[in-house]
Amino acid sequence: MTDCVIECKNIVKKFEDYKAVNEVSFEVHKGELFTLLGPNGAGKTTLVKILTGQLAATSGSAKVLGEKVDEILKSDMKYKLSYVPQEHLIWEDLTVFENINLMGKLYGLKKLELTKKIEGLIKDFGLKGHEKKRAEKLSGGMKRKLSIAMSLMNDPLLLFLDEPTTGLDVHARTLLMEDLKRLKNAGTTLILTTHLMEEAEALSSRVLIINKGKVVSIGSVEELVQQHDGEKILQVGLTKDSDEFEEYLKDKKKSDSYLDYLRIKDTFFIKSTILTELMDDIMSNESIMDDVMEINIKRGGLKETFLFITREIYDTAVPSSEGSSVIVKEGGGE
Amino acid sequence: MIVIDLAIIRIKQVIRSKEFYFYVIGFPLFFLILFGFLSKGWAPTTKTLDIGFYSADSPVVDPLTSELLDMEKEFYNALNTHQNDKGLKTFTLENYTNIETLDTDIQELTIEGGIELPDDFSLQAGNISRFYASLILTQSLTEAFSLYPAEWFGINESLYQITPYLETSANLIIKFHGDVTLQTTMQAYTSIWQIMSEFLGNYSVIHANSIWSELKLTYALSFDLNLTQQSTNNTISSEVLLISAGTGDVVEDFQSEFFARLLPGQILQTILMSAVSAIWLLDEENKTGMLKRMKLTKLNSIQYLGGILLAWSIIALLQGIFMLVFAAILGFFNFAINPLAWLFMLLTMILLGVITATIALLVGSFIQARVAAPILILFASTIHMFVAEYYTDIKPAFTYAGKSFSWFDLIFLRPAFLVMKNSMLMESVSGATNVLFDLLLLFIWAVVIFIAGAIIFSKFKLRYAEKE
Repeated sequence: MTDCVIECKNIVKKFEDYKAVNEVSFEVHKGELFTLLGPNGAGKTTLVKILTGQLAATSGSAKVLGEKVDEILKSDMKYKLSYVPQEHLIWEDLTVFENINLMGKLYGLKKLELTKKIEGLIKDFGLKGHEKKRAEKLSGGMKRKLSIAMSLMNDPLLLFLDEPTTGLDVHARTLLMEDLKRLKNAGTTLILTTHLMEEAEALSSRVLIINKGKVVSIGSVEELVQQHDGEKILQVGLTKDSDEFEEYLKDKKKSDSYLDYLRIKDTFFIKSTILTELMDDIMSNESIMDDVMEINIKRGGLKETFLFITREIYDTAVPSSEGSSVIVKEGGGE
Repeated sequence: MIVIDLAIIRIKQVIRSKEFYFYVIGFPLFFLILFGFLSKGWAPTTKTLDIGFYSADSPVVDPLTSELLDMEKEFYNALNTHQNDKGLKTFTLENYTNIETLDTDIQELTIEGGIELPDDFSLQAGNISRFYASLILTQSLTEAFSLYPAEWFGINESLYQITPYLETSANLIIKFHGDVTLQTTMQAYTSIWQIMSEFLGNYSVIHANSIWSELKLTYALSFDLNLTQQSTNNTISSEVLLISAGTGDVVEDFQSEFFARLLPGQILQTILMSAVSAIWLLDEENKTGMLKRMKLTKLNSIQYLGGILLAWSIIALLQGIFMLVFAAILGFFNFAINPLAWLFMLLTMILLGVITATIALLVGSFIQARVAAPILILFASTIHMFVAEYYTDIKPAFTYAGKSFSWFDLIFLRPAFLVMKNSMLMESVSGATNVLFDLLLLFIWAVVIFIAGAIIFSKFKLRYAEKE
């Protein structure tokens, strides 16, 4: 097996006339934490299902752990991959111990090895003291931990995690991210799908941004930010959802052709070559400042890059030719 | 072994689900209690039974008293005067001079059954009672040796005089005609057996008294009548001639309906109901993706199906035994049936467990679980009713190897039902061969259904990649 753990070439998946995955090609290398980042419905889960052999691709080819993906189930390599779907992949009516124990037995682990493995995973994932508790009684975070712990029973070389933090509170999410870091450091190749920027930014070796089934961009977080001129942005937070500030920006755009902005309800992300001057101008404009709650210049991160890249999926408030503004649908992104 | 591990896990999952207790335990138990008590409280537990009486017997001279011994007449009187626990006459006897007429009347359900006494009834019954009388006396005289040592010689002489009776051989065979799968006929058979036993026991005492007076001994000893009755019970052999009651209208009371149909039927239905649990469990595993996840492990399809099959066989066995225990506690079932009958019943439960699991696989392959559950209940209930209906007036379609078959044999529940029912009645009546035949039929059904279920489930649910 080479260093290349996943090799995807022109993968297409069609559902009737709709292309959920469209000519996707990429490679993942051993030990990487590779993130598939995209808005809801971008095709991330479909891609994971194809790569784990659950779904047959319409065209294209993919190799996982050196095996053609449509043949991996016939080979012993399937024992070396694992995945954690969006839903909790656990037996709800079994206890924590029974869940992990059964998964180990399904992988044919012998008693001694099994006991050692269970003890280790229970400790590592903070499940100690919950062994006898039925899975259905666990919190969402604990269920997710259990689900991941179970997926590690076979010591996978490659682990797919489909939106692992979905439904978790901030505390549980932070703890889980620590677990993922630990796995990455232990040398497991991780494929993570998410629509959460901080998750991708904090953990990823490389990120693939996918939108409408197509690869939009691929690279490390720094590379992506650089690729999309995300060096610095001006972020303006308003006290209310007002159109007055947007009118102001449209007016400014007439004299600064580079000015581009993104509106998410009452927050504006603004790109310009003269950010400092623009901020000063805003702050000196009393009528605008009445509605401004927050204004600052910050280094554009993955989140802002992602939002600008995937802006076309949102409802357009004003045609892009008139100012490139967008309003994010409620709940459409974070 | 992974199949056993999986089976244990399945059983745990089923036992832990609330639905299991409602659908699989609560629901059938409710009807068991309801019907059971209805049958006990509302219907008369006994009624006067119409019985045919045919005798070829001739009286004989008693060698002890030299009197004419007409045991047939005495036995007829014993039957005719016997009262049931409601104070009613147990039997209304109708005399027959032709055995064919008696069988015809049984077929037409004019009478519940018939008793046929052999031509040497008086001789054999007399011999039996004398034999047991002498046994009792021998025991009593042996005790007398220690009580009256001074009369040793006299006692010894008495024992010597009893010896000819001890050497008497007896072989009494009474024949019972009737369809013993009918509760009233079965009740008649049991009662006749009991009366015959009491009758010979009483006669043993009469004979013992006669011998006692012949011996002209002065010391007093008492006889143990109970011992006499138990002993005679073990010497009479009976022969049951199964006369199918197919041409008349069966009018059975509610209690007999319960025993003959509802109890075995409810046990089977209870087992079938657990398919609901299996469907829900498989559906949940399918929906969460666990089924596919398991395909990435070393578990193969055979092991997966084996785990389900084993689990539901055990669950079926536990359910069946639970229902029987409950029925026994309520007084609807007697555990004292013979071991072979128990074996047949347990095997039936296991095979039905296999069928239940397969039904779950089949239904689960096509229908969404929450919809499937009530459909399955309806399915099981309808089949159950069909099977029960068989016992009223469905005529056999053909006969093979001495056994009648009807088109209802195409319903897998029928052989299961027959084995259960006939096993419950097998203690004294139904032949094991007859039960075995139905058990074999059930086994064939279980294999056929399982193969079909396994193929379909594998095709629809155990494949890994979705092509759509």
